[in-house]
Amino acid sequence: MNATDTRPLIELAGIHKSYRFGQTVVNALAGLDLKINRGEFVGIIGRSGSGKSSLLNVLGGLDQPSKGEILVDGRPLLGRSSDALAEYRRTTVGFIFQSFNLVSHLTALENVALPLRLAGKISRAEGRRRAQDLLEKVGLGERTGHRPSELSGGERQRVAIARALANDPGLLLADEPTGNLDSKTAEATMEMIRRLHEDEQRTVVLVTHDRDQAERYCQRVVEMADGQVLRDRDALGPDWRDAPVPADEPASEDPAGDAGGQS
Amino acid sequence: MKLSEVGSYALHQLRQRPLRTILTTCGVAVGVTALVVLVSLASGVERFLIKQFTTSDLMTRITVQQRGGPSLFQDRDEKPGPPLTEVAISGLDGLPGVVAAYPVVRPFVLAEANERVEPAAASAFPVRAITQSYKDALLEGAYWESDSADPVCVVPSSVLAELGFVSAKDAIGKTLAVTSFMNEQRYTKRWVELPEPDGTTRRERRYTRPKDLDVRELTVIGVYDSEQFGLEGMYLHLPLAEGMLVQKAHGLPDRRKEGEFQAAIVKISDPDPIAVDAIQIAISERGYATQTIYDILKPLEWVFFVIKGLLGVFGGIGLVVAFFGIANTMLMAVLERTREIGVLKALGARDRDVRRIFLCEALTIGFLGGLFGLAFGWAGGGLADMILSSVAKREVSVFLVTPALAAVVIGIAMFVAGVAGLYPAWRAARLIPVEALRRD
Repeated sequence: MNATDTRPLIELAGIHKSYRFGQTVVNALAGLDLKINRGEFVGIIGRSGSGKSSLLNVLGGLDQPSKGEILVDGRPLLGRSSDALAEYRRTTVGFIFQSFNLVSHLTALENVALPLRLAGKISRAEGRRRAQDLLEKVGLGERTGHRPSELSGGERQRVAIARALANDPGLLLADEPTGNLDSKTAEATMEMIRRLHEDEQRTVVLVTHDRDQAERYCQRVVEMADGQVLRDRDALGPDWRDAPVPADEPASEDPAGDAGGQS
Repeated sequence: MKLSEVGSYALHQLRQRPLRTILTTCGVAVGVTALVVLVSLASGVERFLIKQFTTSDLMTRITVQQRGGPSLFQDRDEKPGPPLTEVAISGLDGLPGVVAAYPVVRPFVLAEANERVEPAAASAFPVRAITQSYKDALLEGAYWESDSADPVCVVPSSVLAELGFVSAKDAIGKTLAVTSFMNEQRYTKRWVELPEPDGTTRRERRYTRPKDLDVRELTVIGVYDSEQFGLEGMYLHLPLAEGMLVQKAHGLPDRRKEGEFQAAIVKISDPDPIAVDAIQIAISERGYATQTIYDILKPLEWVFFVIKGLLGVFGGIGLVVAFFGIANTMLMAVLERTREIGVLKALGARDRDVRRIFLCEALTIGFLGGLFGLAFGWAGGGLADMILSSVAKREVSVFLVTPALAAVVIGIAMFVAGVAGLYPAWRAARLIPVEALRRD
């Protein structure tokens, strides 16, 4: 990866993803086009069922679209072998999930070291040292020997963030990272993610149903509806936040609100 | 993922569910125990029989015969080879590795003493055949010391009771009448009633010799311990010259010319089968037929190989049950850990990493089950030996766990476990990460 590369980190073109539930076919993504630039902090918002999680899964190589083209660093992601996709997830992407997805029988330290063990590039002792450093970085240096069940929600999410950073990925994908946290912990977690973007120039894609959260932390907010990009607002300034909200669009994070068509 | 990491992750998983791991391992161990007990019993019995029938004396001995020579009952079609003369036999003495070569005569006889008659095989040999091991096996008396035709014999301890001697000492100096085994019908038989300690009676035959029967009357000068002679523990030992006279007394046509022998024994220094084989070939090249204890044991080896195989299959039924146990445990593990598999894949585990983790867990269960089964089987066999020994009041060892059996058994247990783990591991490996992550 070249720091001066001005090409988008990820280019999605005409992405379709449909799921079949018995007789009905649900189009989670319906011809989505999106470019994500290197070093961006992009928020993806939309009602549930708008396809934002499907988009994140496709971005992370966890799921293959039915149709379309994805270029990562100019190289196609589609059609890669299962092993190549695993390598992509291992080296390029760091996931942060709503439900943390920590391995319950491993300690915090072991959870963070797990991607390093999977990669197998450094010795186990080095891996443990790196995991220790990462846990200290997220403020959990004292809780390394605890299992997830012995940690609070905020602590668990911090372990998950440390784990996402283990293999030093350029791209962080966060799927509702604060969905299971109280507002105070959520704020601290978002601050941590923001620092990873600002201090370390990592590209972050945040999926959230919380419009305020997206507007507050992200440089760019992409709103999705029906598997497509509804609005894509770049370079949010302080004045943008004060801009009038369309009348039929709720100002709060209410995801059940009506998604208006005009802007 | 490195294999060492796969292994340590798999072991960690097994430790997470200790009870289930132990129970599944026990299933394998039970199957392996049955396998080990049955096969080690066959091995032990084989060893026991070989030990019974072989002595170091038998293992360092080659029996030499004239090829296609006149046999007792019929001529053979084969063109006769060179006869076994005194000269030819002493010629064999010069072969490398040979300690001694001497002629033997082995007539089948009827031994009679105390109005009792017993069919017996006699072995007649010269003084130079009497080694220290013969002398050491003596319970009473001594062997003859010259090759002159003294009418003497040394009897095996196994026939003492049948011939009505109360002890080895009792037999010394008594007369044994020896005649052709075909003369049995000429004896007059009668039954006697003998009191038993519990008040009942037992019937036994008594024999009266007809006056005109041609017998050789031999003085018993020694009694040897049959057990120390293994397979040959029933032979009546006679001086060579006496043996030839006994054979003549058979009244059977012996087509062998004067000075030719039925068989010779070649004693060698090294009991190693390869060394024995080399000398056997050298003797064959001189035109003689040879036979060793190994020739007799070879078919026995096959018999035991087949028996072990059959018992192995029988014991293997337990392993079939263990197969289903492992498959069940592993499938349950895949279902329970679906979400964790999703996490591993999201973190970049390859399909083969996931497959290997589950296979490694199955193989570990197989290995541990094999190891414990081996230990239980070995301990069980040892315990059975101890009980048998105390009942028999002598050292009994009929269970034999050889290193080969141990290795094969653990290998089989791991193979069974590996095959049982194949399908669950394959299922785990092909899970789609996003779907696996959605599972609770």
